[in-house]
Amino acid sequence: MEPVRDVRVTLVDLLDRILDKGLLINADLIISVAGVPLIGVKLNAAIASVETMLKYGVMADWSTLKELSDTLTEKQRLKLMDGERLISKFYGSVYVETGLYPNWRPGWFYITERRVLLIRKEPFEVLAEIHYGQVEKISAQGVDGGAGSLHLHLKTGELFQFRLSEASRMRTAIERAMGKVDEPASVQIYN
Amino acid sequence: MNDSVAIVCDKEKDVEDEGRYLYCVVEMGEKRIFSKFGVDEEDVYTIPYGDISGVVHRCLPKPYQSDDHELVKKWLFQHQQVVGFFFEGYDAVLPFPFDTIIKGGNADADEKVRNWLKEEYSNLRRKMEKVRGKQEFGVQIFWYPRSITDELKNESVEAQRMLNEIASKPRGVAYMYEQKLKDVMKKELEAKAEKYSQEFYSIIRSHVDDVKIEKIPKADGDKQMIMNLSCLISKDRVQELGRELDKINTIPNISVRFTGPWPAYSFMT
Repeated sequence: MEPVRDVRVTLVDLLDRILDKGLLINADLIISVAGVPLIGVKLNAAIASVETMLKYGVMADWSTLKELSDTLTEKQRLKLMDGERLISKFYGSVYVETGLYPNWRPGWFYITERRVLLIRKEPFEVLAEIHYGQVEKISAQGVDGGAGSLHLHLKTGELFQFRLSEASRMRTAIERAMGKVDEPASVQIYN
Repeated sequence: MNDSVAIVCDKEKDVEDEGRYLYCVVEMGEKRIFSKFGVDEEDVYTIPYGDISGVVHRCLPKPYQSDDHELVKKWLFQHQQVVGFFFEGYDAVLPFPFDTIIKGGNADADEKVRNWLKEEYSNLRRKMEKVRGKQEFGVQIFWYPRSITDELKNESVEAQRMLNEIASKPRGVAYMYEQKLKDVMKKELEAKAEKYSQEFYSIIRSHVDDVKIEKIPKADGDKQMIMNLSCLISKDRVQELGRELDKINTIPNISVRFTGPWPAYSFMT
């Protein structure tokens, strides 16, 4: 039996934890929250309405990205193609617009000779996969002391936004790797 | 956006007006900033003390609260998003519940957080060691009392005897026997639940690192929860537990719900 993490099924389990559990601080240091029933009541109402949403399938598109990624993955390991070498690995997140709320989803970036993969390790999930041939250009935003966001603009007009503390290093790694791609003519690299 | 909500952090204001919203304590001693990452798109940053850090954002010393359910839900997801980010990347993460805000008072609020980390250092370290490399999972076991009762009726000699009595007695007397039978079955059902609970608990207990027994919510329809556990498990033992739960799940009229992984929210006390 595999644990279920799909938020459509486990939302209540998650909220039980976020609202009622976790690290506690001496009451005199924090603003009183636990003692104010007001919040609990309001949050419970919010949960009830989430449950209603779940019932009526409003959140159905949450799994779109997951389904998409499942078709791209082989469980528990990166499926590298013949002769495809792993170049480097970074920790960061990708901006995902599908789902309940657009949000940043964390994972590990794997830079190979052919593509960028963003992997959530447990449970295994491919959050993003981009072949260098698809890339129109790379731009960096707010790169400050190495940290910031990287934007990968695809030829289809699609945009992938990544955020990580080693943004400039990853950019260099990708650009170097792209230099080795078979069809460099189709790739435009911005400095 | 609701104007009763603490959303603005004005740098010009007195330090007394400041608070720090706390997400988690993480094993990492560097200052990092994650822009527009937190609850209400606030900039999240780390406040290091030695080799550990508090993950926070600047805010007013007021709880986040609103009548707008959509907004509250969004905040909850944003809170989890930040905790989840550190949970994925670091081995020992201590999560705070939603809306934990430290008061700045007269001191610099960052300093308050740092002082707290300093005072609690050994305690926090101990908690980190406890959860290092481990994840929390929910295990809930349900049964179908009606089907189980039918099963028990067939198995129980006493129930069979009473059923025969009912069939042979006039209506009024039969009614009394039926009530009696109900009482007997209720007791049998309770005994069965007790037996199952002990059995499942001891199996699960031997395949996890720690376990907390949680409250059982009210029954919803035919399906009833008989056991609600939060389990702390080393990453390499998750499959092992999964296999045991599979076995329990194959018992007729029993179903198992296995959720996670979560940051170790239930193992912070």
